[in-house]
Amino acid sequence: MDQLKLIIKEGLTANNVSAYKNQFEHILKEADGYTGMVLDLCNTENIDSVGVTFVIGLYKRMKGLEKSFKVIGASNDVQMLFRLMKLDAFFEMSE
Amino acid sequence: MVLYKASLHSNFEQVDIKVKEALVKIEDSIPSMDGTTLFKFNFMMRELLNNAVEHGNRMDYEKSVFIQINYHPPYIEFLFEDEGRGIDPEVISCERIGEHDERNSEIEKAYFSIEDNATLETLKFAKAIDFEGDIAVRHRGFETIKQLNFSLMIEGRKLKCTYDLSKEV
Repeated sequence: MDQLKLIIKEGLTANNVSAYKNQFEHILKEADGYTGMVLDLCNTENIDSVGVTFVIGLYKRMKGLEKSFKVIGASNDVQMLFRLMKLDAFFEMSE
Repeated sequence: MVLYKASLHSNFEQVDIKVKEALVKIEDSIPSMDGTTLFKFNFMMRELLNNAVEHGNRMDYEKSVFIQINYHPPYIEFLFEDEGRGIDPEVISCERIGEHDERNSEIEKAYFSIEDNATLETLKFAKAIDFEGDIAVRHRGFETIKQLNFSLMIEGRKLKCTYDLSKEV
């Protein structure tokens, strides 16, 4: 089954999120036949709540489309932050 | 000891630049600082600077945000100041529930109260209707800062955020 993979190359931060949203919408329009989304945060150490909200938005969008969503490549620190914000209750994440 | 002092215009690009600068200064000054603590500082600075830029200065590029980082072992202290109105004095000791306020529309969907000493320990968002809405986002950010073991004090346009490095394992 094909998964849509998004790799965040810059920070998950307020200064980048607008561009990410535009790119994401463009990708969604082009994508077809995928069963879910994998968000790869292997290059992400800079993060703020605007970035976290963007991730939540991806999750909710996939949920609305009845597709799966998970986060991979998250460092221990990023996972710790997501757990504090109780996001682990909503989607799977791993290093 | 002052580790870092800067002012920035009110946009998110400037926040990113200044946080990266500040982290380098902290690392250079305190080489024993571990990665997780730096990560916490990174997140906290972004949250509070974003807040000052967006809500304090209302994204007015011409308005500045000031940041200063002081180190008095074992405490590291982050001072932020914007050029906004500060916390509305009428809001102190005042409760608003779901009230639309033209002066401060970001509180439209939130209930909050601020005690007289205006610490973020007493800043309570009892309800945020929209999981992704602005108030919920800021609530989540502030609450997370508290959970990361920072202590916060607000005085009008100034915010002081302190971290006790001796509590880190």
